[in-house]
Amino acid sequence: MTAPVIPAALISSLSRIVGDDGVIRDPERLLVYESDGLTQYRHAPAAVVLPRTTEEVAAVVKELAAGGRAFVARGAGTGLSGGALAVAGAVVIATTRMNRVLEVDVENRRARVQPGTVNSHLTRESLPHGFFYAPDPSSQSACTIGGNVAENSGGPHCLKYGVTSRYVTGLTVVLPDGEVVSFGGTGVEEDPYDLVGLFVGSEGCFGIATEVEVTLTPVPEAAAALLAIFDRLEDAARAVTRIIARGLLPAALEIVDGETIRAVESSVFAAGYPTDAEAALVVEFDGVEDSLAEELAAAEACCRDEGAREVRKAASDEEREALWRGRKKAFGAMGRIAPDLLVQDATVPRTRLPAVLERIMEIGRRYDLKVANVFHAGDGNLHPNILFDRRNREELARVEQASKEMMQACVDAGGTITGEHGVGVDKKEYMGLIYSRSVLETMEEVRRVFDPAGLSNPGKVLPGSIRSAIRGAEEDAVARV
Amino acid sequence: MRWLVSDSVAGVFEELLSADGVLVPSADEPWTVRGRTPDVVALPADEEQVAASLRIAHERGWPVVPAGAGRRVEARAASREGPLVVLSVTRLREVVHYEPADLSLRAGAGLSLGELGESVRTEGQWLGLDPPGSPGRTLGGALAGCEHGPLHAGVGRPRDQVLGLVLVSGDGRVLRLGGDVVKNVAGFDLVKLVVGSRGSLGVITEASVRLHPLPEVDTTVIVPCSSVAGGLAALRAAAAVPHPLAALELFTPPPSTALVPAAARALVAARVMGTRRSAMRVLDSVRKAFSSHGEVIEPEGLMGGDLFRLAGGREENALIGIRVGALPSHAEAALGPILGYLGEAEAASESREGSSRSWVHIHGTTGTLRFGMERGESDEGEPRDELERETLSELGRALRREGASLRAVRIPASFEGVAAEWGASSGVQRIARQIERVFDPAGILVEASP
Ligand SMILES: Cc1cc2nc3c(=O)[nH]c(=O)nc-3n(C[C@H](O)[C@H](O)[C@H](O)COP(=O)(O)OP(=O)(O)OC[C@H]3O[C@@H](n4cnc5c(N)ncnc54)[C@H](O)[C@@H]3O)c2cc1C
Repeated sequence: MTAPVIPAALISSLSRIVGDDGVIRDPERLLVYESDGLTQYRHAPAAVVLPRTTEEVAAVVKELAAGGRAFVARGAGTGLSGGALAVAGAVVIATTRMNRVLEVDVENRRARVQPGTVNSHLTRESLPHGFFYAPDPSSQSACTIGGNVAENSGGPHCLKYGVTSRYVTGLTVVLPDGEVVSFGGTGVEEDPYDLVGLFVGSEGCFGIATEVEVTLTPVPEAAAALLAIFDRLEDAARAVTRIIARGLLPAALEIVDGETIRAVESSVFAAGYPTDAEAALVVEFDGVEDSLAEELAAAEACCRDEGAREVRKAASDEEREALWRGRKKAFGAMGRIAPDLLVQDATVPRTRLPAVLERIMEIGRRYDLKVANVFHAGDGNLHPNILFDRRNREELARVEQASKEMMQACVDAGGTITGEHGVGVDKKEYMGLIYSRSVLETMEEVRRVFDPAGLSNPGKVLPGSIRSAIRGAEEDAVARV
Repeated sequence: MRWLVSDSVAGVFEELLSADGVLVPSADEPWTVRGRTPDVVALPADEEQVAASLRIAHERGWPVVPAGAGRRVEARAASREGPLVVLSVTRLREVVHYEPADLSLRAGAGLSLGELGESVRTEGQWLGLDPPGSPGRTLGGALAGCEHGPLHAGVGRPRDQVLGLVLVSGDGRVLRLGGDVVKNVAGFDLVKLVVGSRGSLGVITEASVRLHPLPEVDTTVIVPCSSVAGGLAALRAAAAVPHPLAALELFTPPPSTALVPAAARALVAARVMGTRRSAMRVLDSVRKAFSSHGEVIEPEGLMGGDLFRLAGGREENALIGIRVGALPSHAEAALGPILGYLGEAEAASESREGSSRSWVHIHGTTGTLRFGMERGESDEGEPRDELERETLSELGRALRREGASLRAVRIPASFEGVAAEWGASSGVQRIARQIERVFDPAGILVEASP
């Protein structure tokens, strides 16, 4: 796909701000930026700009705003909803060169980072002080804190610790007209509204975060884990419900289904999960060492009561990591058994997990599709992943229809259309399943407060009909390939 | 001719809400907004009636003060022109949905925290919301208010407890925001905007909240200290304990209870929750941290939250209540000027009847300080003199110079000008005003503090 045209004068002003090596125009190099982790959508950006500081971001945004040119922030591009896609002739502002941990302030249990900082790097820098950064998306070795902020990302341990929004305390933001503002901050009481909370999860539509202040968490004294093997996926889901209802507070409760187990075991990531099982449940507790054995035993009883045929307990940290391996390598392994993977994401009330899973599998069978589930079961956050080959147009149509029905099933069960991956371009037409028109219009009006000209990541989150009703203009359609 | 105006306002609401949904306050129905008696107290019975009431007020430009169950509402600008309407959600107290195994509950905003707590306790659960004040506070009021109690050290802020809510905007739109599930990133997070908005964006009619399983152990250890400096040292020591505490606070002076020796100047309290085994270990560490700063007391029969509630009571009844934000490492530096100010203010008020008592509370984990003056007998909303205003203003300037920030939680009308000096940056203010226009285009909502 060819990149949209962009005036040479604009390119040279951008180069003046970020240097010649900070502007990418070469079509070969632009390829990387055509999609994020959801590769069904592709759209070439007009150019990519790589600023290094808040001031540079502000200058770039001012320059683009002056010419009415749209832009989209991009972290590592691991997003799974097409959020970082450059539609409407947008320029990508990538945070790749803004990757410094600015401060680890142990005394005040916080850190300040640039938005391009990789999630796991922050934990790496905090560990020597006895702290870690709690939100741990499975992509944490690649995804950036800026991307996490924009998506309000979760992760396996968010069951106990909570998602990104609980940890972000302050933001420096370049608004879509280039003005720099700061929201919140530890010890800042004066903001009239929780603008930090509003910005987290705004998917790049309210401006670009150029500095992020987060809370650090003391590393727990110890952790203990078990792996329970089930012959039926529903039984594993029921065990999760039972563990929660029993009042136990695990740090993580993750399910890997049979399809996924078999993919992992036939890959280089083989973790020793039994390939004839239909589900494996990882249960982890952390905290004060004295109570872990007791908690783990209680969780084991819940699993056995729901028909676990085998329970493996880790006796050491190495064994614990081995138990996790099948879960952690699931995505990598699936990538090897099918050319394409549609990672779906929805949340349902935890008591509805068994019923919803059953419906999802039924939908998969009806459309003759391979569905593999790997998910944050403790939070009711499902990831039914559909394996397919996008070159097969007919199959692609079935994938789309099935994933729509799966979303509807989750909504019918009292759930929502995305638990952590965001709406992006992929789910904006599903927004009407859960929100009324007046809620969607209010969201659009709030977005306009931040971005009256509609330049910051246009074409995302809200359905086109809402955007055009309010703005009186249609935006570029997104090409699906 | 004010009664005529009132009469017609009451008539309009009676038509909407029928007679039992309208109250025209009189001397024996003591509703007041900053000392002014509202023309009408609207008591809608459901979400639709809330919407209809707000649509009418929006069309006519009548100022509306959203309220929970409280009869004495502190609202800014009670002096605004036109008839004054209080809209109370106290009749919306239904539990809409409760599935204990999901650890969440959806209820009407008028349900009191006490009642809510009772109904989930029987299922072995609890709600992590502890704004200062009585259990009579409503769910809606607790969420609309911007105050978090001591528990936020352990369970997070009020906004982290909310999964979804229904807001009726200032022009009567019913907005069902968020949902009932614990992870939800669909669309912009307007829930966060509404929590803590003090009624300035609309009326919360319903909320879905996260619940927690009751811990095996919920207990509080305290250490009375003979000096504030000693208290600060104990606070610091406990904050360094490498285990999560449910709450950690310093109170000076200690709230009055028989547990604390009269000579104590400060009290540090730590609340520990967990399984029996883990709580024992954590309690051990806290005891050790406290031990070199005074005699550690583990009050028999004191439920985890009791002492904190006692202290919260004086925050609720404060005539002046101010939050000061500072980095934990700067909290001590902020304390000096605050104590100085309170000393002066107390001395000034001693010349009057029913002298006020002042207090300072410090969150051990965030460094947030709250200070205030209790309401004396004769202080019913009464303006204080110029001198006191000037001292407070000076304190604000001194604290801001040190990098701290201030927010008035409760403040007499005559002090509003001082509080206005502590505003956010102009960029943030502009965004805030524009957001208000989205939710309340006619600007009828009057921000209230509980
Ligand atoms: C294998 C795999 C596993 C994953 N596991 C999880 C998981 O467990 N939990 C989870 O929540 N997600 C998961 N994800 C999804 C993804 O990693 C997260 O959404 C992540 O936060 C995206 O970060 P990024 O840096 O890659 O952002 P990008 O994909 O580059 O961008 C995502 C969005 O953020 C915006 N953005 C980026 N930087 C900024 C900024 N500085 N200011 C404003 N907006 C900005 C972009 O415009 C875009 O809308 C997974 C993805 C993969 C591929």
